[in-house]
Amino acid sequence: MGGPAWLAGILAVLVLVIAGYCLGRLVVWRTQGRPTDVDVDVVHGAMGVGMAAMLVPRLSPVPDVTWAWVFAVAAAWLTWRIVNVYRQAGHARIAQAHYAPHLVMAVAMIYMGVTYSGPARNGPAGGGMATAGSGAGAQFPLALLLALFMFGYAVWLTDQLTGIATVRTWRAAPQLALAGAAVQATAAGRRAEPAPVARAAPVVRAAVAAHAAASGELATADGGTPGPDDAADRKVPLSPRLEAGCHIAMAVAMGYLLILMV
Amino acid sequence: MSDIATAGRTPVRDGSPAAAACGSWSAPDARRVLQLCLAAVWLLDAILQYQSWMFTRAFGRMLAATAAGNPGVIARPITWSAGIIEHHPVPANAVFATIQLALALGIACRPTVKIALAASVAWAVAVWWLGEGLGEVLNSAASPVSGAPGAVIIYGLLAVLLWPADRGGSPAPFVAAGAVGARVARVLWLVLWASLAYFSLMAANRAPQTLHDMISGMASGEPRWLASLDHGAASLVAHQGLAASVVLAVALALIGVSGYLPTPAARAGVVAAIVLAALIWVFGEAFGTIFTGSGTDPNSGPVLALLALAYWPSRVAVPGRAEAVTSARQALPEGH
Repeated sequence: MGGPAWLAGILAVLVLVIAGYCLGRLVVWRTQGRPTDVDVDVVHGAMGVGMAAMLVPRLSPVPDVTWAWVFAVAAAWLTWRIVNVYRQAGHARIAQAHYAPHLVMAVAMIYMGVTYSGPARNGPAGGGMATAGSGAGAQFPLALLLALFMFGYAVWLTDQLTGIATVRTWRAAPQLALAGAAVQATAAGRRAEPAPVARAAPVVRAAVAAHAAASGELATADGGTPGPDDAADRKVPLSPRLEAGCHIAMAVAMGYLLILMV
Repeated sequence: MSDIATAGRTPVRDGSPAAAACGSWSAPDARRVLQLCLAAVWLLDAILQYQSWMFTRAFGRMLAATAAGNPGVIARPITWSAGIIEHHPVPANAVFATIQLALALGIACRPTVKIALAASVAWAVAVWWLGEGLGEVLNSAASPVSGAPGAVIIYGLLAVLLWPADRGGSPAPFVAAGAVGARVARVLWLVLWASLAYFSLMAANRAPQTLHDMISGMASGEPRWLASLDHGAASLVAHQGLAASVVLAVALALIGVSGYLPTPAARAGVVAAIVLAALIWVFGEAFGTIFTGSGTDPNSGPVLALLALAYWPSRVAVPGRAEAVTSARQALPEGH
């Protein structure tokens, strides 16, 4: 059962806007040095274009199966990042949670890219996404399981939305920039997690730990207390709350696509 | 998430600028986790509502069919609203689905949880009446196997039981008792499961082939693996309608009274409720017919299981003990 064409069009616009925003973040990161998740932004930018192509097939610049290959590469990269964070942060399991949802989203894109093909792609209502697995032909309900993951992720992230600082609060307290080093030190067993970080939402703590592991901030955290100059040197991150909102919208849109494939 | 930083709503204690910006984000407790599960179910419900079949006139006709067998005072509004939906299926369904999406995200977002839960109760009652014909409880066709008393009214019940306020000073013996108190929560549990037991014993459900036909009828349009599961389960209860209904009614009644039993028995009742809800969801409801593309919600199985989890006796307080401890503390002189 496909979705209505007008709804597919609206969703395609939405995910394209999100993709544009993610790519815009990369431009700002490159030109102004504002911190962002480069790999996550790249993957979400590609996801936005890929989902728009699935929603409205005439927008697709490449054959359907190409998306499966694109996201296979993305999944391999994110898997490597998870392994790398695990090696760097050791027992800090929360660090791995940073990339895991994006990895599952990449796997969902592979699944949709592989199964989304053939004459069934144009549903009766004219929407692009259609009947890859519907009715008597459906096998193991992987699409439903992935959709349930997307809904759970969207709800989990929404719950933490107010626990993510806005840029304004970030500017008011640049010391937060040093939290990454603190978490890294915590993972290495050197000292207790500082109160601001310990009280942070899990999604924030996961990002902190992942960034610390990736950028090797252990030197800052090694025994000493970071000074105010260290904090002042850090750049204000790019709209963390808006980024989380984009991830929520992307998860809901992907869940919709997957439900259409159930 | 790109980087760090939290900005909770709770005032911070240590006074540092970083802490002031951070606030404190509290990890979700058991009630909040269940609220989030409820939000996820609402989200699934909303997305199912966006499927193309719901934007057709057939959706309005399906709603109109729920009026049959109901008293006139109940049936007339159903027919009236179904007529509107049938004539304007696209805007009507778009509004319905979007309301449910807003409810899901509203419950998931902490600042709006109370508003969203309150709105979900009102919405659930409206849908239960105008969309489900009161779950067929008034026309002798309700069966717990097919989803009685209606999934959406259980959404509403959950919203009440998971309301983020605590009644009284003593810790609640289970999550559902937090907002309404243990006595009211147990009565609600008993009424729900006893009514399900009653429905399963109604004449229409006791007939030899009723349960068989109900389960095998769910196989239509389902994927092969699910259809074969349904046919297999249906063959087990063929010509066994009376016996199956009695066994089911006894199980449902025992679950209902388990809330009044000591903690081990209460836990066994919760586990039994979850297992039974899972069996009903798989065999009686075929996962809410999600695989056919015409399922409007996941049906009652998941929400019954969620409701049961809200009655899981906690280790913090055992029924009766919390009140005793509180009374004992109050009896002590000051300084102790």
